[in-house]
Amino acid sequence: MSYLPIDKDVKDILAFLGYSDLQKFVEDVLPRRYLSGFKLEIPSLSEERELLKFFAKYSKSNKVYPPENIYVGFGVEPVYIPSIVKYLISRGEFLTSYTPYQSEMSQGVLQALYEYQSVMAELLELPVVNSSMYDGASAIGEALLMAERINRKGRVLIPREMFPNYKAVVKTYLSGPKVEIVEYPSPSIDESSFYEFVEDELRKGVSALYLEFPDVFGYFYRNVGEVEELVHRYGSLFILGFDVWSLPIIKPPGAIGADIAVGEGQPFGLAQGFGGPLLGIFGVAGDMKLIRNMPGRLIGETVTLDGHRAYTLILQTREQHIRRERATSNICTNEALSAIQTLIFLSYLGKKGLYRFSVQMLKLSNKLQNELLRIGMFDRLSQMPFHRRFSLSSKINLNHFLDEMISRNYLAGYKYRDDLLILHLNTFHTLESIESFLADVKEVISNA
Amino acid sequence: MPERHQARWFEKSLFEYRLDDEEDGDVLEILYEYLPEELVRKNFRFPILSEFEVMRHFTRLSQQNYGVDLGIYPLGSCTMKYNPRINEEIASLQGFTDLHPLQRSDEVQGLLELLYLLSKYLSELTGMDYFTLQPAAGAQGELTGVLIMKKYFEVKGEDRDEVIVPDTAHGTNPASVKMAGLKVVEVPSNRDGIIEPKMVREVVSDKTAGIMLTNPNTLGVFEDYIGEIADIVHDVGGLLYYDGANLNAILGWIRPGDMGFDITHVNLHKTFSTPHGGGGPGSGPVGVKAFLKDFLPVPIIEKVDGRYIFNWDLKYSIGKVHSFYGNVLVQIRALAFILRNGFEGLKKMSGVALLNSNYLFKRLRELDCVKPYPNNSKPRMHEFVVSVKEARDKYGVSARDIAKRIIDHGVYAPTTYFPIIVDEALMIEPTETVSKDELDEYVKIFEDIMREVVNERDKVINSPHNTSVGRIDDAYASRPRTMKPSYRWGKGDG
Repeated sequence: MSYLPIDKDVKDILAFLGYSDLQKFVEDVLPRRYLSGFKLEIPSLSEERELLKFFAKYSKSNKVYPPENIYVGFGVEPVYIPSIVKYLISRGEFLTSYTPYQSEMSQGVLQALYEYQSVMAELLELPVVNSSMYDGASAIGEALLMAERINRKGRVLIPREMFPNYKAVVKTYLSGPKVEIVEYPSPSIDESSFYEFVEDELRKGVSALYLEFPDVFGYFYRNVGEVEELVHRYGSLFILGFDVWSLPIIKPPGAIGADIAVGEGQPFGLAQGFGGPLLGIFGVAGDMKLIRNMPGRLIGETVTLDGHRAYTLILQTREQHIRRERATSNICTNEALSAIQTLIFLSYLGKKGLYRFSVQMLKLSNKLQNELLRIGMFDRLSQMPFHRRFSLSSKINLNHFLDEMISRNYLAGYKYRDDLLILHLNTFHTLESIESFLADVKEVISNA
Repeated sequence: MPERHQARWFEKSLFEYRLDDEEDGDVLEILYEYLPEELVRKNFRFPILSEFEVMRHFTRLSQQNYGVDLGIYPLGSCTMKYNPRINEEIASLQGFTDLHPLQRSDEVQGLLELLYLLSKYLSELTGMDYFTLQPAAGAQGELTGVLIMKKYFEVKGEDRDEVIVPDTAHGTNPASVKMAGLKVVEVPSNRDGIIEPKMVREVVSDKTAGIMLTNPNTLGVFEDYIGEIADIVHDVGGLLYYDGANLNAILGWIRPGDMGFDITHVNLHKTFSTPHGGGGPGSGPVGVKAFLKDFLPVPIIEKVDGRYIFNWDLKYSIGKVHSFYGNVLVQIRALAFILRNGFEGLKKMSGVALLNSNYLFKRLRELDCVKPYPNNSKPRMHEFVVSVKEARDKYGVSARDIAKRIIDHGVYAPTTYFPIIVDEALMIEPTETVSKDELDEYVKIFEDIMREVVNERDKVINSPHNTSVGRIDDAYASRPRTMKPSYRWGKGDG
């Protein structure tokens, strides 16, 4: 079997074009001077079952942690993907389509993406969300580039304390137009030096301030409203990073006054997949200047010439295929299917399901932190409120601790510094799983 | 040809099922217990559906959508080919889907070996030496490649900020150059649709960082002078970037590396058949010649003493472009595609892509009002461009009208109005995964429409008639006063 037409088709077309042999045809069509005549050795797996066997062997050789034993996050975490989600997203009409350039024939994808934008808009309390970016990291980079396009101050403010991978991507994105990155100290650790530093920089002029809410440590900076006011007082844009699972219960970006909100969508029903594909969520406030400057595809509801409701790509003049070097971004292929998967996941869950998990993680993370503090070897990093991620400064050797926990089948947290552990809860965690985790933590610590 | 009707469900929006807009007192009570009041969100609005309603809603939406599983999808430069289902099964194996990217490399040796293998095959197929799999799409690959160019000259201490891009280039090329902070120098293509050495010679200088080319280009024409162009650019110290969007024409026969390219991106979701429903996810690995290895994004996968490791230590790395390692599950599908085909299978694949394209080209160019661009008799590559300017000039029927009438027949339309240098352009790429019957049908559909253009013009300009909805006024949809980008828009609640 192959993925090609039947032999007769090939023969007939060759004959029509005056050939009897494909090799000869190709050699006539392609310029001979560049034909390489190279050969690549590839194991022959032309039988489907052999191919599956080959990959199954490799798949089995990887270590899979039980999802309730994973206490790391940063954009990617285990999440249960309901059967209906897996089924619907694998329907060929969705799976094998592309960007809906012929909108009349692609209403299914267009309506789904419009609904994705709309559902996210409700969660963010922002009226405009694009139909996807690559991932949370590039969404931050694009948001900062967008702010620079609007304000042209040549400088942006980002947190000094960030997940290193995210910071690395931001630096790469900003290395193009040579925007200076100024890193501010964390407000959840030291409020006064934060304000002093930030106000000083804002006075000098920056295009935007990016604040993570929650920050890398998991804390929601309580006086976020003051930061918003300060940033806007100096005419900068306020970019807020969010955690999708906190949106149902924590004051959302729109209510805080964010101009742009960015986040990672994977925890809303996508596989971990060793980190991809992911889903970059990108929302903006209802200001035409922001909307016209935003990157990515946007779907709108409209009417047909004969008066029926329909959906189509809108504001395409921002995009590269029309505006070329004056486009707001080079993005073309995005993560639309991830967006639709997230939409189906959220439709299935509804508000009750969202509350259930958001609240469950809130309770469990508090319980877990309290229990860990009682061991006496950890201190909380800050008194700021948190939802499902928190940070502990540690008196124990974290390398040793994490190794021991790995041998007990846990990814027990993320070592941010030698003495700083970040723990992150996901939707699989239950009271029982937390308790067995605690029992193992206590044993490892007492054995040390 | 018979016209074919698409499902018309007039499916309501999720928000029209039922809305949950009530505060939940029990939830709030718990929230106040743990969180300061000013941080608590008191309520939000959300659709409520039962599980079976979710099933019906999205099944209906899917039936109002067209995909490769339904038939020919000949968008030019998009390579919309059949997506083998076995690759979906492989990519859903638990040992791939349930791996956390912060796991240690010694726990995922199997996965890393596969990714290493993919990098190796891509290197050999493109004539590059090292690959990064990190870019999530072709355009991100381009940005990665141009940033590599930029960094390369920064490290060399050379002040070069110009990138040459032909007027036939994909829009992503100039957009990526701009995003990387460099300047676009556009060169025009000649009457045959290609770049001539003298045009390149005119614009190169000690400011030239490089040139970005798609070969074959978006007109489906091979850049015959690529050898000379490579010499000219290299002679002034510049680099050559290969946009792999059109790799499906040459895979297994011609390698970008052998044509003189230094950096190449590959679209796994095009050439290597990975599904990207609705517009993504894609995957745009970037390969470089050995002298540029140290500029790749970190980490790259390397084999040391029989073990696979992440090497984060590249001296001049441009940094990172993805949160982790790129779209790994897409990469696995692409590897499965390569292995299933084998080298001879891949060669045959691009051979048949050329064959189908030339067949369709030869048949369509015979029709009234369909003029090839460039207007010569040379064979085309995996895609080709025709202009229906004559239909517009003589009968007032545009390329858009013709595209809309095509979809009335249950097949997708070509890319329209691209490349922008061609008036009333239709850019057509059938790919290798269509049968002769489907191609003959496509020709017949064109024939019928061209007859209608003359005799039943109204039927064409008012099309489509058979799709889920009729003609949409895109300009109206985008006007600030009339646009509606979300359910929330215009409701006065932010």
